[in-house]
Amino acid sequence: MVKADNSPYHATMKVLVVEDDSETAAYVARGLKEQGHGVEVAADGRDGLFLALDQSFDVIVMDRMVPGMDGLSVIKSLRAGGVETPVIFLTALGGVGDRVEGLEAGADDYLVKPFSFSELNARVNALGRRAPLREQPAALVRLGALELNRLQRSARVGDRPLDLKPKEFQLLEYLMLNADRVVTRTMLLEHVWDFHFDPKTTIVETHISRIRAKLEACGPDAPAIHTVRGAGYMLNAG
Amino acid sequence: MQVRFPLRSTRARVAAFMSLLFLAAFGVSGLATWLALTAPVDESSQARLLREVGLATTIYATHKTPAAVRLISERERRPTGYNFRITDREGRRVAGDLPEQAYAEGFTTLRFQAPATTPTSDDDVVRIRVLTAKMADGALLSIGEDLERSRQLQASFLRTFILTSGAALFIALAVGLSYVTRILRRIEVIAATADAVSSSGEMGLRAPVRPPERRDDIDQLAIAMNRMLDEIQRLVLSVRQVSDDVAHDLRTPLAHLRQRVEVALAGPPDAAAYRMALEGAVEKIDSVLTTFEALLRIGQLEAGANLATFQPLDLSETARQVVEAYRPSAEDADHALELHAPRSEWIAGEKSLVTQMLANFVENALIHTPAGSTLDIRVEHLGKSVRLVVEDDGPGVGDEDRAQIFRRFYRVERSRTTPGSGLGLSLASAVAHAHGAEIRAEDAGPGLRIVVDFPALQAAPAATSPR
Repeated sequence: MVKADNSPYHATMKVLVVEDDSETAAYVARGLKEQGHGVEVAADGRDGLFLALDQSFDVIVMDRMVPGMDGLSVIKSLRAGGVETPVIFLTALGGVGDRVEGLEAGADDYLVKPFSFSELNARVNALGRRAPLREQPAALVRLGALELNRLQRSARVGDRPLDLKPKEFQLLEYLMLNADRVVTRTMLLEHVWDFHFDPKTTIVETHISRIRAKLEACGPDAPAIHTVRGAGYMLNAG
Repeated sequence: MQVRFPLRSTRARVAAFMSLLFLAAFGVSGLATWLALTAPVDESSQARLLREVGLATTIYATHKTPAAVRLISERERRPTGYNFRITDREGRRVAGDLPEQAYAEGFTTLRFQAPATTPTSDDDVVRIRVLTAKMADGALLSIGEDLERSRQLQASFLRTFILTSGAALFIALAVGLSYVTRILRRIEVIAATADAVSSSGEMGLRAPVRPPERRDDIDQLAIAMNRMLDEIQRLVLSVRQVSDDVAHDLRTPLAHLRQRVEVALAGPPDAAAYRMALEGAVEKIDSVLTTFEALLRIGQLEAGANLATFQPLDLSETARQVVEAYRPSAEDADHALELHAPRSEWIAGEKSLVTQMLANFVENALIHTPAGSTLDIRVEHLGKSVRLVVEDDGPGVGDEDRAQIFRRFYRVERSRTTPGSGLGLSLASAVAHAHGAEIRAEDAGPGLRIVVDFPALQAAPAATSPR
């Protein structure tokens, strides 16, 4: 189920995939190529490290269990060697401590196998250098008529103040920093709630619908949160 | 049986060791007694001779010769024979029973064949120590001491000693070996029990244990092994249960998946229908994968794989975050969520796991209680523990079901049709146990109350960096 990311900021990236399972590697590489990215695949940890040190990539997708040199060591070596390329760490199903280990080694994000391509794609895009608003260190973040004050934790659309609860503010902030790109439900759970599991109830959906209602109440020039079927959500300028 | 030979050899080793020990002990004590017995006999015979000769010399010097001879004869004549002799200066016997011989002054030892008439000893050699002194008139006074007597004494001592040590050794060996044999037999029984369990797989077998008032080290060994067998039996049963449950609970969604795909393939080739079938298939596969994920997590937690990442964690704050996350969904479903966590309560924990545990409790209550129900979550300090209480006022769970509620895949009959894998509370329970917490389900009359007692972190961290 490979879905096109209709982002207007769609730029090509160079992605390194370090994965020894040829089926998974081909699945990831094919999907990323369809998105217009350039992909290099390494089936061995040492080859992956060599490629990452030799060339410059925008994102590295690194499996934990690869022959030659395990993923954690590769990430540590990269960071020790001054390579700051964002890394998505792939861990095995059920690996309770893997997330912490991966992040401590210097990974920027993690994903539990098996994963859907849309999930990986959203994360690759979020980590890539295309993030237009992410670069703003400013306290004020704007998207169309929507403006967030990150210091005061307040929001307004045009002149109308937007009354948001703390979690709603965090959620909208994350969507704005990743505007025009798909953000998955799992990404929201991790970044807004620090939940690293899949809740059975509709936590994300409920919050999204509440924010939507508040945005719509502000008039037609407010940005809209779109649902991308089978992938997640996307905030677009109105 | 395999264990028999080494145990037999243990017995032989004990016997050999005990014999050696006894022989050494008897040898040392025998030698000591021998020395103590022979030296004084030797010494006292010399002393007696000196004394008697001194006395006789005095008698001889102070009396006229015939009177002296009479007095000395009376004094020295004893039934054993070979007692004394008085020889005049010409070498003729004046009195006495010592044999004819040239006596020189000082100590001599006579050794000769005994005449048949003297029943002195078993063998025929007579040994007599003689002390001879010259009197003023040139006569020789000799007084004898039959050494055979002390030799007899020594021989009889040796005989008695060997007999008694032999008897003692025999008794000690018999008593000791029978005692060792009894102990070894009990160990053999324990070994045989272990053997039977490992060879036949009969997990219910246990080693015999005596009543508490008669228990010794061997019983402690048996009790320890029985405890180990209990634990092994529990683990084996739980593994069997889990594999049965996994097989059973995963078969259903996989069967559904197969049916869907089959139905789509049987129909006319239509892209839209195929797409729907595939989307449905992905959904089913995801639910199977979710179940696997939960099972693997439970397995990892039970294996204690995560303990290294534990850090100080404020249970009240974690509960607050979970409650805030679920409040909108709960409100939409007309459930009330209440939190009573007035103070920070610190435990050692892994935040994502404790969060998941709390979330599972909340979700379980939201799914299984009707609209209008209230879910009350409390965090309180209780002595050395921090107590988490999750209590709903729903229909509750029967006693029998409640005892099983934390088992993998266990689902109360009436909730068979509601969504859920039957793993949420099992995972929560595994998280609790991995944190050293006690978890139990109680009747809240009506409703279900889950109580988790965490060990409290003694010293709250001074500087904390809440996310």
